Formats: sequence, C-alpha cells, structure tokens
Amino acid sequence: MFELFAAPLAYQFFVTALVCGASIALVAALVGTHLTLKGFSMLGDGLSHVGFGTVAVAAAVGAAPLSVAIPVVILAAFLLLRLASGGARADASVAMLSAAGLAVGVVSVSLSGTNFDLNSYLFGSVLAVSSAEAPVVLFVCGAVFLIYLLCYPAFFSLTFDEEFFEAQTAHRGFFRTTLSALSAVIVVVGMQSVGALLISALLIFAPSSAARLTRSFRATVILSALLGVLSFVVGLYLSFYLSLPAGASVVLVGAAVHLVSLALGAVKKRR
Amino acid sequence: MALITAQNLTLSYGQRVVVRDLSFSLSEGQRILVCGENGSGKSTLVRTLVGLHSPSGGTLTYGEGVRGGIGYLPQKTPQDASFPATAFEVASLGLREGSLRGAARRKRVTQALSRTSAEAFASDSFGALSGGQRQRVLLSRALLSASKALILDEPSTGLDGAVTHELYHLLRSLSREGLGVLFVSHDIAGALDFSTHVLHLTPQGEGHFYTAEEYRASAHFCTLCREVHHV
Repeated sequence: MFELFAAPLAYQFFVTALVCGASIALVAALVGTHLTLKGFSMLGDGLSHVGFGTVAVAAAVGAAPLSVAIPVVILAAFLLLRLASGGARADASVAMLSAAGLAVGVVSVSLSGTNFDLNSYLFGSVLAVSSAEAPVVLFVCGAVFLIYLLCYPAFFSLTFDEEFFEAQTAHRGFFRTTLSALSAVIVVVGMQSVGALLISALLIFAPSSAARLTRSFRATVILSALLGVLSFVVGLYLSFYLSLPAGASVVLVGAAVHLVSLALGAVKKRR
Repeated sequence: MALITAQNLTLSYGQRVVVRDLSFSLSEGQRILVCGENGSGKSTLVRTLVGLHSPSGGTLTYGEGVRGGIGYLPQKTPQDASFPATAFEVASLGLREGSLRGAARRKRVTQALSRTSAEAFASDSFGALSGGQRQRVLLSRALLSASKALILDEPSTGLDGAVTHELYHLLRSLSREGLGVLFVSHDIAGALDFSTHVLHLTPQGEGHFYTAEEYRASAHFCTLCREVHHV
C-alpha cells in the first residue's frame, strides 16, 4: 500500500502536480463553500469560460495569457456576481456570458492561426505544470488562503444574510468584491490544472458534499477543504496508475464523493 | 438624547412616493411602534433607518456612535432549511467583526441567546428550528449588535402568544437600559401596551407621530383596529 503511494513521488512532475493541484483544490473548496451556499454555483463555470476566451484572445495577439486573464476574469466575476443577485433572468445572463466567452476563445484561435494549445486550457494538464510555474501557483494559493482566513467572519455573514450584513457594515461592497476576486483568481490558476470545462467542479463538489454532512458552518468549511484536497489526491493517483486524464479523474472522484455524501446525508436525515 | 432624527423624510421607489415629509426622532429609552396598512411604507422606513434604502428627500441624522450601534431584525428570515449553520453561529454574526474572541465571545453570544430564551437550542441546526425559534435566534443576533438602538421589522412573526409577550417585556427592559427601540408590528393591541410612542403610516404616504396615549384616542387607531380585526 505504502509502495503504491510512494512510487509516483519519485517523479518530479508528479510531486509538482500533487502540491500545486492540492493547493488549488484547497482554496477552491474554501471559496466555493460560500459561492455554493449563496446559490452562485454557476459562477465558476461562467468565469472559466470567460477566462478561456481571454486566454485565447491574449494568445492570438501575442500577449501573456495569465496577466491578461486575471484582471479580465476578476472584472467578469464582479459583473456576474452582481447579475446573479438579480434573480432568474440573471441566471440566463450568466449562461449567455459563459457561452459567449467560450465562443470568443474558439473564434480567436481559429482566426489567428496560432498554435495555441486549445486542449490544455479546455481540459487542463496539471501534470505539465513546470517547476518554474509552481512557485507562482503556490504563492497565489497562499495569498488566497491568507485573505480567506482574514475575511472568513465577513464572508460567513455575507453568505448567510446579505441584508443583515449590509445593515451592519459599510464594507459590504469591499467583501463582495474580494470574494469575486478570489473566485476569479482560483478559476484562472485552476484552468491550467483541471481545465476551463472542469474547474467549476473544484468549486462545487466538495462544498456541496460537506454541506450535506455537517450541521455547523465552520465544520462545513473544514470538511469541504478536506474533501477537496482528498478528491484531488485520489484523482491524481488514479490518473497515474490507470493512465487517465488527470483533470477528469479528479472531477470523477469529486462526483463519487458527492454521491456518497448524498447517501450518508439521507441516512442521517432518517435518524 | 436623540439617537436618530428624521426631518421631512421622503421615501420613494422610482417615481412612486411611499412616505412623504415624515419627521420624528427616536431617543434613548423610547419604544416606537410603527404601524399602518400593508403598503404604507413600514418596511421601507425600517430599511432606510438601517442604511439599506436611500431617502429621496429630507434628512436623517444619527447621534454619535449610533450608526454603528444599531441592531437590526429583517422581516424576511434568511436562508433555507439546508443551510449548514448552528443557532449559536447565526446569533454570533451580530458581534462586530473582531470585537471579541474565545471564551468572552462565547459568553456574550450565550447571554444574548438566553435573553431570548433560545439558549436551549444553541447547538441545533438553524434550518431545523421552527419559525418562532429562528425568530428568537435572529433577535439574539440583533441584540448583539445593538449598543444604541434596536430596529425590528415584525419581530413577533412566528411567535406564539406567550413568547410574544416575553418579547415585549424584553423590549421594555432593553429600553430601560437606555436602548432606543423602533419596531414594526401588526399586533397593534398587544404591542401598544409596551410602546411609548406610535408612528402611524398611511397608504397616502403620510406619517403621524403620537404618544401611546394620544394614539389610543386617535381616529387612526380605531380605523386600523377595525381593519386588523375585520370589525
């Protein structure tokens, strides 16, 4: 058993993927808890499509993909979160922006004729994260983690009852924007590991599973983080041994964990 | 001392004026009952006083430190039954960010919960509580952030007769401790005995400010009682 766990660690690329991916999964699960419980689960999906479009446009015009994508996606996150607060028609706006983002990306790549690797951004390539990229990913995840810890009480209040939070503080806009920005950064950084089409799964699966198994908000956040990291680690090992695409394996493990949480949640309810 | 003073306050939604030229003040120790028919602007007034709605005219002045010391109970109970949070966690949201930590924090929250008789279900899931129990937890949350004033929109919603009576007693004792209390209620007959003043809003956008005794003798009281009790 130990051998199965230790063998892949002999490869530098695997260790880099494990550390970077687990860090992304951790912060995605933390921030995703607030998005999911607030009913903004589609935000990650919408942002990833906008992110993909931006990265493709940046590549087409010869700009550095991430430095363009991060501010654009933060702006999109802010807009989408405002739209998402507006009700049913806002949901359609999120879906439309999401589809348009993807279409812009595909058309940009097609028109530019560059050899932009569409697949790596759509489906991710966590095993291809280089040693040079790893410190950037870890720094970004560390910063997101610290900001999250500092803002946790405000994020909880914002998630539970925005009206009360707004009445109590003059800084609602600041915390709302911070939550949007953190989501955007996670989506852009995570796009490389699990891909634009799958990154929203990191934001949704673990929090949704944890919320079914716990009674307190704090326990939900902690369990969500644990399940997010665990799903990533198990998925990565499965992809290594079964020669499966890493991003998809991680998402499938997350889906399996969610099915188990549904069953456990149902048992808990019967008691 | 006046905590909140409204002068010629006008509240609107777009072109529609809900409240016009309203003047009154909430002082320490006062308990103001806000009443009126549906659509007369009671909740809009409450939302304006706590900063959720901007007046379209007139002025609203807060005493020193009052703006950050208002405890608020919204009309709508937040979140559905599946939201994972305990009653204790929900009540603790009333504490200002970083104001207390550890054992001192736990003690303050527990005290607030016990004042609304909600201590017994502090560790239960908020979503699994009855409507009345949730209301008591949310009232505890409001108490924790109320150092100067308490503004409550329909606090007796979901509460049975005995608990409503306890609530009114609590409001009276809080005002005697120096808080200014302003609350909306449809339970005019019950709430009036515990109020020092009444702010009656009409569907025409007028606001009338009375002492409780003046209000009992007024035409507005008779009209509203007839409507509420379908006499």
